[in-house]
Amino acid sequence: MEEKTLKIDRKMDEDDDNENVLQLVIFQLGGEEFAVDIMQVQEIIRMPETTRIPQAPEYVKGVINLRGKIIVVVSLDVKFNIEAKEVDENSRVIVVEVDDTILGMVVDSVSEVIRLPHSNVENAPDIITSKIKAEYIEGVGKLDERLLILLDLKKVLQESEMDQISNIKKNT
Amino acid sequence: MSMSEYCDMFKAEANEHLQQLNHTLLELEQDNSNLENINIMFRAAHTLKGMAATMGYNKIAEVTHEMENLMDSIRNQEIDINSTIINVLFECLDQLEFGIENIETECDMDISAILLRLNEVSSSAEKHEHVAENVTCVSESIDLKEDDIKKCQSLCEDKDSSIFNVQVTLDETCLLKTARTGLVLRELDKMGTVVKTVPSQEDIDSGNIDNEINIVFVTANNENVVIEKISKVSEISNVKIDPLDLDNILAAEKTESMPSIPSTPTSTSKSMKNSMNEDNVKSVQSVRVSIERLDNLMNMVGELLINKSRLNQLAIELETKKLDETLASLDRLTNDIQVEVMDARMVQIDQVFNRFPRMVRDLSIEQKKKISFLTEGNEIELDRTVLDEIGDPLVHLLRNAVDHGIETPEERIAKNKTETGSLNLKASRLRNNVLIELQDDGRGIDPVKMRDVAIKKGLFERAQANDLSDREAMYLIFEPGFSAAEEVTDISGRGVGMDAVKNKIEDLGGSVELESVVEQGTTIRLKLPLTVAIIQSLLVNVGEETYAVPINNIVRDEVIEQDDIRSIKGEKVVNLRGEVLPLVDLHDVLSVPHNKENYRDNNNLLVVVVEKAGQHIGLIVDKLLGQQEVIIKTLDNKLLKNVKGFSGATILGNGNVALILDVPTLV
Amino acid sequence: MKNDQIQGTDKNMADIMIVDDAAFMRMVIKDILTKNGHNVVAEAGDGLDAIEKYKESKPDLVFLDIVMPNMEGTDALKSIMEIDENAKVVMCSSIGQQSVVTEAINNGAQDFIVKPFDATKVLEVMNNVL
Repeated sequence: MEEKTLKIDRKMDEDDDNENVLQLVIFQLGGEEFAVDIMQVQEIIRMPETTRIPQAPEYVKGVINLRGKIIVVVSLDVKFNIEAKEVDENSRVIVVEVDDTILGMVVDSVSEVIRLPHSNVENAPDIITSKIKAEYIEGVGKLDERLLILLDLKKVLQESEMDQISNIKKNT
Repeated sequence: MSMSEYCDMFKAEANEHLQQLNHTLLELEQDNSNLENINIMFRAAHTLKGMAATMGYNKIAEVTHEMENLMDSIRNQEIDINSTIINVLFECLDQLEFGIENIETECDMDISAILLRLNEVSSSAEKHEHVAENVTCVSESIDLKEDDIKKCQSLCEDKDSSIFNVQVTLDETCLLKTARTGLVLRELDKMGTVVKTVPSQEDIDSGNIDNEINIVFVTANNENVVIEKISKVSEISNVKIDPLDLDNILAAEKTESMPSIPSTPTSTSKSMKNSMNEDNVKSVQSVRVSIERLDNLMNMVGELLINKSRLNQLAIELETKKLDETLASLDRLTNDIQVEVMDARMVQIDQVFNRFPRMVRDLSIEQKKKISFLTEGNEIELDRTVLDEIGDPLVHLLRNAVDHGIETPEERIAKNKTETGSLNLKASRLRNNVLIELQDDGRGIDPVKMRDVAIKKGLFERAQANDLSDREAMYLIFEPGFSAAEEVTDISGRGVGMDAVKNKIEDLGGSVELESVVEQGTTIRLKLPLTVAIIQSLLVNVGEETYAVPINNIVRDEVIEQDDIRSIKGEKVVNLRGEVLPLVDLHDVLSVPHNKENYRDNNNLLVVVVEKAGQHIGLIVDKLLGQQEVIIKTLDNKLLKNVKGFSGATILGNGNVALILDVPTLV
Repeated sequence: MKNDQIQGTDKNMADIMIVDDAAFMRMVIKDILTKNGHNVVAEAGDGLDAIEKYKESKPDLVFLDIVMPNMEGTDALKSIMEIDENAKVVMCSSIGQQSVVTEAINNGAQDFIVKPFDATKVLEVMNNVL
């Protein structure tokens, strides 16, 4: 990870005047704008056919066939307890790699990839009005008038103890 | 030269030799007169020594070197083989196994004890001394006797030749000096006549050489030619050539002091007459391929199969006949490739079986039991992935049999049984399965005792326990935490194990069966699929969802009537021709989100009958889609760790994913 | 001087057969040879196999192990020499095989190497023999 970040920084150096710059994938979900570091993103695909997995945690939407590999996709809206749109032609799966695991995240749409200087990111989650849990938020990026919620994917995509408990309850 | 890249290969092949050594030593223990077995052991030790030395594993090389010497002495009948020697050799093998297992720290291995033991057995039994050991320091000089001088003179007269004193110095590192000197002498013989050597030919033959050899040599060639030819021999550090004047020699004998040291005693290995095909060393026609590569190949074959079925489906959708022929040949080809790849992954079960005779031997000695252990069907082949997994379960079963099954000799005599118990491990092919049977003629499992233990452990009330059939009572042995052993020993009987064995075998898509008669013995049967990577499965629909049921688990399918379903203790059953078949509705178990009424034909229900631990269970499904070969892909994701009932997933012809039901954990 | 010789007589590419019952040893020798531009045309795991392969591949040089199942290297050597009196055979031996190697040399072996091998020894012997 270290190395990848370095590489990006160096690339940015050329046109961003030695300033540390993040490259972020911006997506929409339930009316809010979120961002993930592009270095964690493998690809962005259209919504494929998913196969439901009985007994899996509720936010696991199922598995998909990604060119012969079977990967798990999660519904971020369920995880964040927010209301997403119905799946339509704008829906996308962002395929990410976190902790050596490849996962897909279902989002309402993906709008753009932006560059944001590190200095524009604040880690003061109390100033935002998002409904999602603070622990999932790595920081908040400000781009003109927009507030982008930078996700901590490690925290988002690991099954917390709370999830496990609710899961056990669900199964019994 | 960096040797690390050879490490894996070294380990793999060294282990093969170790297994052969173990196997042969066990045979020698039974019959120590078999000379060929001694030869096999000698060769295996020798080969292992060469390999280890090449890798720089000096401790292993040293132990195998001593073993080789010991085997050589036995072969030459200098030492008689006895049980002490056999035990020491077994210890050597353990030491070597340890060394190979921990090859990174091989240099730290303490081999002093084992070398001492080896030394003891070889010296205490040693009767004949090596000739070479008695060789003392001989100081010699070129001392031409009258005969030699006459010979020189006649040689010089015959041809236009001259006499030289050739002094050859061998490399410090030269190890086989006799042989090296032999090569030098042969070169010289091609160019002229060797009149005399210092040291003498006898000393050279017995290895009694320092690094220098002086040769009196008559040749018609000039000095430079001689130097050039000899320099071409390897391991020669220096060649000096001086003309010899016979008159001078006659006048005053030129002497050169030639210190000489006795070389290490060498074992004379006579050429061995080998009986054919007794060694298990693989033929050269094979190459070693890492299992990872085969797995990759397997995955690619999987992709190929998926694409093939996609093409088939497309051809049907497009209603084109033009593709038929090509598709048919593609079908054949992919099938052939699949068969080849599957075959390449097959390994003889002997790879697991061959360590058991030694294990049973050691265990029976420890337990003071007499056991005759036989294996059968060692040549049966199994997929590598299956083979890798069955070792531990089999070890456990064998230990149980030795520990709890077979009685002590006294006990057996008192029971009017033969003093020596018998334990048989047999593998056989049964259609697409391999059957492994472990049979002992020991105590057997007593259902009465099993019920008592179950009550004692609080698993059942007395009345419930009495309700259990004998068979059910015996099968309690597979329940987690259940142990029928009266005493807990080191080896087994801690109550872990039999359930683990069963789980492991079922994870592999196999099943475990038990048969036992009190005081007559126990037979445990493991049924294993030949392979796990590709399985035949029945695709079924439950609601809109498609699932794959492994054919291995399926007994048959049935159509039953809704009205025939009864409820016993809250469980649905149906009485089919006298058999009470428990039913499981997959709609419910899999919590399928579709309304089942929409998929079912009024009164008729489709049932797939599967087997779980010898019991039949009916799975209610909505539609049978047909049989298909599917490639198992694992569902290893932390988020799915609580998910049970699936052995993996597969990709269907239409590109969608279907889950593969794991019958043992699902119902 | 030795070094000059190695370079001076270096055949660009020799066809070589390796005979050893240990696949591991064959691999080690093969790697040494192929990394130095030689061509391993055949491999055999015992003496009998070696004779067959020799007939088929007619190599320029044979590396022949001594202790092997089915047929020892020394016996294989005799057969190879019968097939081809100009055969160039290098015995692969270990410490303690003095007399066997001497016998092999008397039977026509060109040279021998002693395990453990190192690359320079193997190449040196090869260049001396060819």
